[in-house]
Amino acid sequence: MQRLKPKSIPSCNKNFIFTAVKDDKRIDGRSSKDFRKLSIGFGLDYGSSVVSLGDTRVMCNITYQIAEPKAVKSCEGLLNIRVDLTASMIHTYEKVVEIMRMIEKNVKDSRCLDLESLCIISGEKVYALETDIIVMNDDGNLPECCSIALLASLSHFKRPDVSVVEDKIKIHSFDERHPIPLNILHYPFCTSFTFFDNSKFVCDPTQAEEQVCDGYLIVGSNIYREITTIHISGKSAITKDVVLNCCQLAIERSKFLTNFVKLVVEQDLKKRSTEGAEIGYAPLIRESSSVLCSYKKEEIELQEVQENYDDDDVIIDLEVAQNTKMYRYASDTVGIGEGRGQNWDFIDEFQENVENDENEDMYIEDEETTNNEDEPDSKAKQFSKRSKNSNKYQEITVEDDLSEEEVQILNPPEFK
Amino acid sequence: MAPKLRDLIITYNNLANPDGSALFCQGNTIVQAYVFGPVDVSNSKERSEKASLFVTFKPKNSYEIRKELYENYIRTVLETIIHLDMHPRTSISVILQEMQDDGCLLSAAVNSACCALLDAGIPMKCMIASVTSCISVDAIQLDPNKEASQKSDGSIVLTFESSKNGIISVTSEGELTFDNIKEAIKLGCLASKEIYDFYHKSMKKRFLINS
Repeated sequence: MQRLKPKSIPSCNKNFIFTAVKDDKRIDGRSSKDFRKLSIGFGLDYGSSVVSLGDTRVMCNITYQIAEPKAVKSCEGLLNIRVDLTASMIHTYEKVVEIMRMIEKNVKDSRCLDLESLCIISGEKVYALETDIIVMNDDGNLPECCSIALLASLSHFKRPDVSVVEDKIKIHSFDERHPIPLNILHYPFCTSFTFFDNSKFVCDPTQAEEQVCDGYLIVGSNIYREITTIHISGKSAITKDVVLNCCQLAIERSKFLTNFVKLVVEQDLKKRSTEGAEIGYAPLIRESSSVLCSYKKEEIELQEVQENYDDDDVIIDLEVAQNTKMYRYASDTVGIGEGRGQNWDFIDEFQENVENDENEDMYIEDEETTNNEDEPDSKAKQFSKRSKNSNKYQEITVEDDLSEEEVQILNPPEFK
Repeated sequence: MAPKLRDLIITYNNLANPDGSALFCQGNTIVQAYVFGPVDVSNSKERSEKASLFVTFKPKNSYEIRKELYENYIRTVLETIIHLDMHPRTSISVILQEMQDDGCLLSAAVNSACCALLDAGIPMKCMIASVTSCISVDAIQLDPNKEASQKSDGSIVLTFESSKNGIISVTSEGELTFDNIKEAIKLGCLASKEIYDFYHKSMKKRFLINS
């Protein structure tokens, strides 16, 4: 599998994000504590869902196998979680492991799923749930999107009923017996926050914000105000208050998400029970719903837009231009202004020399125009000019050899 | 008898990250295709005369066996139609993600790959359309769903190209007679034209809406 290099963010964009966060503004028009639009769609099979959070899109599929339980937990079913980031092409293996571990910690270790109900014969046969989280598009906040997809799939999934007769197990098809949903005890959702300097933070970061941020915090919490996981990474030093504040926000978000997921699952199961209703992704695509089809950006209301120029963005008028020096750094590189400053003494001397020379040249030229008839004088002067020019040329070459940076200073000919 | 395909729906450019993407829907079979490229390629995989093409088919559940047959089939088909020599020393990656399987998965994957390549603007010689027919004792059925294909004796997947309407790839399963194949080609040829029409219409629709 070929991997791509991650998109580089220009420093102007980086500065823009930083300064905007200070003013509690973001590129997509949200405030720092707003979340993007969330939509969930369910597939044809039980336990397959797609979650779109802004442009981040994650698919989750669950199937089951009958497997042997672990020796230490002989009467518990298995829950295997895999995260697949191949489609976004740029993530390293470490990033995949980090997200996978994050989701596992949040869902498995918080014991939100009643695994004992997945046991068929203690120590011999249990249900093993195979969970695949496939990231289709990454635009930041993957932990939250993945945890929503996983919990939506888990609450949507139904397993077939099973009966044990004389050590023989029989799995009943969905036509024979009603499928059984999983027992979910609570819904722990991850929420991520990214930090910028001065402990400013934003909720639900986009990919650009994640790339330029100083650090990030991922909080897993549920509706009962319990923190199931917390993970801080990056170089920002965050105070206790900020962490507590983030936890508070995460809990509020979890409350919303729990209700939202329960509602959509209920709606979908209701739709399935009514006859003739179309289920699966196909009707969603036909309606071109936001879950699968679009990645249209919501229109931003442009407020407080005014034309103002920074001190740096001075429009150069002719007078200024004439006094501006152009610096030639190499044969094809010319700079205006003080870029790539030089503090070496000999450069200043050299500059003075050049200026003197050019002043004299100008003087000569002026004289030439006035005293055109006086041939011998003008010839002599022309000769002197040439000699001076050749001197200048020599000087430049000498300087060229001396200076390691190969700096030559010239007046722009078009501004004369 | 006019051939009858299931409903075809497509959404182009539905994802932000890839260079081209298409969500192809054939009945209830849905495949999401992503195309990345032409981009840099690692030295070991670089080819000096043409672009390297990578095709990955990803099943819905990763514990399933990787469908290398599908990958090979799609790669050979795409290698014949893409102008790989126009982008030497680069790589073009095509990733096909199964989202729902209701029969004719391979055909849907080939068609979605074509659409995603169109969306990415990769230069191609022609378009391709893949059609699956399943053959039972009494009849031949075009574009079957999963239930029908499981009941049938054999199936044949034909891939047509649009310039000369020739067949560029065939794969079959099960027991087929010579007459069956002849009939399947006849049906598939008609159905492929329907699919080209669909490509044209959907492309037009896409650019009219966006503009």
